[in-house]
Amino acid sequence: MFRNVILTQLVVLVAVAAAWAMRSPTVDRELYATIKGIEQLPEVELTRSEPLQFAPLYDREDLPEIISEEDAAYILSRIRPRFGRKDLRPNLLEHALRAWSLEAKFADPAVLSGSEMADVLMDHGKYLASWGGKAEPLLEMHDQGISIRWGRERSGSVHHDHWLASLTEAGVHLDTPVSALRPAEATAQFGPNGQMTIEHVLREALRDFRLDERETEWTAMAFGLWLPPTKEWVGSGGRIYSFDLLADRLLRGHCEKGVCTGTHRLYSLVLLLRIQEQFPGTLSSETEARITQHMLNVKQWITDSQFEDGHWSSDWSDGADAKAKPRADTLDKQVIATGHHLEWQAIAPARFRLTDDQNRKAFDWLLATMRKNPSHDHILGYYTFYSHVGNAAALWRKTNPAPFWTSWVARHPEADAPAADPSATDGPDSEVPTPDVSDSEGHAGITRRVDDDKSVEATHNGSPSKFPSAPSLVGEFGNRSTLETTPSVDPSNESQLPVLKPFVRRNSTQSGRLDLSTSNVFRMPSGRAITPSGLLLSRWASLARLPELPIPASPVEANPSTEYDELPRIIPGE
Amino acid sequence: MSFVVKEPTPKQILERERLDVPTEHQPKEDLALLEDKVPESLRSSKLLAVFTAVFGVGYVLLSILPISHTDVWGHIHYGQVIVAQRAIPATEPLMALAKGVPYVDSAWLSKVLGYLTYNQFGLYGLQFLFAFAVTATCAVLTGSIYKRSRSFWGSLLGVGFFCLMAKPQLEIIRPQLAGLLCFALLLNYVTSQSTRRADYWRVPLIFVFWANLHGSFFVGLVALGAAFVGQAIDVGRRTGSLIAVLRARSVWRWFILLELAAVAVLLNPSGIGIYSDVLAIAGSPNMRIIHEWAPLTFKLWQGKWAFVAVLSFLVLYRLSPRRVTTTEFLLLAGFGALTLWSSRMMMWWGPVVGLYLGLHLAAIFRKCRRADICPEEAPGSGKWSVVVVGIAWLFFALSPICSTLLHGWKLYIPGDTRTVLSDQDANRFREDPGVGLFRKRVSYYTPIDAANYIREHHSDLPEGLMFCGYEWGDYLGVAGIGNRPVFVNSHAHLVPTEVWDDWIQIARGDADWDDKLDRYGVNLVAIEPDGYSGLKRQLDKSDTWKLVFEDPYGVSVIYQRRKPITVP
Repeated sequence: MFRNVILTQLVVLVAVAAAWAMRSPTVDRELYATIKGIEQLPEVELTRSEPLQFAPLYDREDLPEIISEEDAAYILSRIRPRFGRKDLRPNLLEHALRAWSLEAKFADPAVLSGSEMADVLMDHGKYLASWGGKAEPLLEMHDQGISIRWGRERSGSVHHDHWLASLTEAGVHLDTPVSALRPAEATAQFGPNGQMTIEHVLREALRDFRLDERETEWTAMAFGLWLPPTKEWVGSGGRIYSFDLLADRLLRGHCEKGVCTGTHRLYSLVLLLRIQEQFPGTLSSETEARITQHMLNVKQWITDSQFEDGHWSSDWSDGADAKAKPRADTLDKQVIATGHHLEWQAIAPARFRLTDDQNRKAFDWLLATMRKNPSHDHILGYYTFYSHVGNAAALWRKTNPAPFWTSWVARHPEADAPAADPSATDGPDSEVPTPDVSDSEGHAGITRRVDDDKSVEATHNGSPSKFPSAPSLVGEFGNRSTLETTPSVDPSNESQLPVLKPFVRRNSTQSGRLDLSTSNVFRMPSGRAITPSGLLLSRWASLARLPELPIPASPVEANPSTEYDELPRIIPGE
Repeated sequence: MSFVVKEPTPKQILERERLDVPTEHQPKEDLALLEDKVPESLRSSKLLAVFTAVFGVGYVLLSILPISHTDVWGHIHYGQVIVAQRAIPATEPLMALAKGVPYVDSAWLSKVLGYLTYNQFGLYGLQFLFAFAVTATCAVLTGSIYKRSRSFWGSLLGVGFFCLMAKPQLEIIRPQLAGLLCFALLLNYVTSQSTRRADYWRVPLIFVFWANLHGSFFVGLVALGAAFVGQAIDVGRRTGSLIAVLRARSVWRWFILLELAAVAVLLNPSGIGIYSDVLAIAGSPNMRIIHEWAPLTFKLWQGKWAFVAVLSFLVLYRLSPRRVTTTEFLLLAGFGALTLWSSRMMMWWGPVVGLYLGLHLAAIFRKCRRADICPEEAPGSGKWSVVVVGIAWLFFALSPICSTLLHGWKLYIPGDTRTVLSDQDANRFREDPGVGLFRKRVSYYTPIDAANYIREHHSDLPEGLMFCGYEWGDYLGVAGIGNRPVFVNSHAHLVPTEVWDDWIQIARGDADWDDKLDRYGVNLVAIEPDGYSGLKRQLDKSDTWKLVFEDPYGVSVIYQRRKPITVP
């Protein structure tokens, strides 16, 4: 009997070993997920350290002027990111950064530079300095990466992967540091000093993306700019994603249903076509043909639906019907539709572009609208929409806002002079429209105005900071010598350390921020645990450190003589 | 000269009969005529002929039952894809909204068999498969009960009770029926008290087929586990010694069988991954809304019969002289608890209940009649074997599949030109005979007219995604409705959760139903008006949609978007 039992065990062992040897990768993934509760997906190969960038395709010399340099400068001057430093909404920063890029610099100290905006978005310390303890961290660190808190809250990003797409378009590198609160489990995974970067955000985005979530425009953009020549990858649930699938998703449904009356889908689709040109095979020929057909349909619809004054309404996809039965649109919807159409048109291949007159009329309407509403509040109320207008204006001059502005200011220094009153208007203050609270495109940000600049000057890294006083951990947990240091800060020189206010309060239930129920582990309201040392290190590090963001060389130098030289169609990264 | 013929003693007569030696009174040739040349293993008893007649009637009745409209067409469609590709697809091949989703299929062999049968024999082939699977299951279960009780009525009552308990699921042709047949075969071994060496290859062989026919092989492993644990406990209780348990052959037997079965399961296209595949299907959050996966409630047919079963066992255990083994308790309690968790498990609890109920009823009958505890098996003969075969053939000949085999009459989905009807059938229906006969052979709620309407108005109707009930997605998917992929089909575990949640909200006519239809680009909605009354109300009120079709049977309505969304 026992001989039989032993023989059976041998048979079982051999069979299981053989089955294990022949297992598919899915088995490993599911086993890992069962044991650790985390889905481990095959790592997507990232072959570039800088994202792809796109320039307009037209030949500037042959193209009649769509918008004059003065008009473009006027639009850009209105959309300079002159935000209050307190409670800086990520949504605003993302839009501003996307338009202005990391290289943006302004003489007016009330206006945030590109790197300052990026700091708030990518450095939890800077974010904390702006929001204090009243907001959940924007950057949420997990076992395998960093995700961005998004949703309807002011303190979060508004669209899924908008943070990533905006920073990608702004020119971040894959190894650009990202400084997030480091919970205990992440410390175990990455080590207390392991540097987190944009790559960790990108990989988390690849993991947490779902094709059928409400908005996919930004994800498609971000993946399109980072992943090629990879065209297929495995995402959540083992689903095999591809750019074909993303294109299918962007083509699906009613054209108006999408972010910003469906116009971002057009931008993303054009990007996919541009990627296909650069990396043939990224899309299947069938998908490419479908996108092409769709964009030709869109061209016809917007040709038919453009009003005489140049604007489009939110029902642009109804074609001639949109004009025949005008919809009672609010101004913001018209600005959205018109600005966004001009923006994607600027990078679209010629066969999808409208006539020059049509585009010129659209700019004329936008300029008239902006001039009719000269107050700073008006722009701030609709900043997210006007940022696209600014980007479109620069693109139609075959450049980008930052180099254009640098060039313009070099010739017109007064354009960037500090304003005596940040809310000053350029003329008689006309009616400031009330943003549509029920905006269906997720632009919760537009329903609230940016607060006035209430920043408090604080010594930060030896130089005056525009940020409000940062909270302090010193004295709460003592030993500063254990804190993480960076080359830019000498920890022995206390004068360089920020003077910080107490942040962690014992009365956690009243403060509502931290739960000190255990002796050595804090638990955030979201349930994430963090050790005191981890908290201390990460907080201090993020506050004290001013990471030198590598600002990539602009593909278009701000040299007027070379500004409009013919550029490669797509300017890939290194 | 006279001879005195000496009469043989009774003992001599018996001995001669045993040795087949002819007596001096009987000419040799007469004996040869009466000799039963049928091998003993093939000899049947009179009772078997009666059982055959009973199950023959059941088979014929089952074979003319309409084919349920739910998931059978999906299984056939997937089977077609597997046959065409000669491989199991890596990703979901049929649903437009599930592109890229890993295709998990633990029933590929059933699907292939289903498709090949339908392809060769049409609808009658499916009816045959359905009737055969259910009849065979009942026959195996009856055999298990009878073998241990020798009770005709106990066997029939036990199986009848099982059929009543699992009726809602027994009415639907799906791969699960193949799994049920395997389960019935396994129960035959699990409840058997005799040990045979052949079990060591027969049981694993069942699992090899089972793992490829349906993912329910898990319940088989559970049953073997229950037998192992139950036997160990019984031995332990009897001997009071752990050593005795460890040395008991009967305990090791079940342990080895369990191991061999678990290993046999590995012989499938997914290999060791089949375990996680099955768990993934069962654990899919999409299944929660499907009522047969929901916990058992008293409102359900199964719930009522579960209650009756529990009451019955309370009475049976009070009256029955049969000893209750730990294995029996574990099987009844274990599968009963699983049924409480998901009413679908009634399919597996039912056979266990039927089997033990039959055994205890038989024991009670014997107790009442003061009969032998273990009566001898009635002797079989070749004559009854012939009768059994004759009865079986008779009933087989009465079933629809025979008309295909003998006359070549075939029935396919309307629109399929392979349909061949008898003159009688062709004259029987005023409308298109193919459609009329098909309607008789499938369940009432099969969306035949909706599919026909779309097919006939193909060029007038907009293309693009079509919203439909998930139970209709399968039929509409194979009914040739052109470039109109269905929103979902009955393979809910393959549908992305976000899509499934949206489908539910639309199907209920919840707020945002129209926004979601816009976002998915749906241009046609085909629903059953009573089952989707919420959505129908919303569609009737909407200016965006118009009713374009309503069938005279009240089965289906079709709405079309007034201004269709362009599909690039």
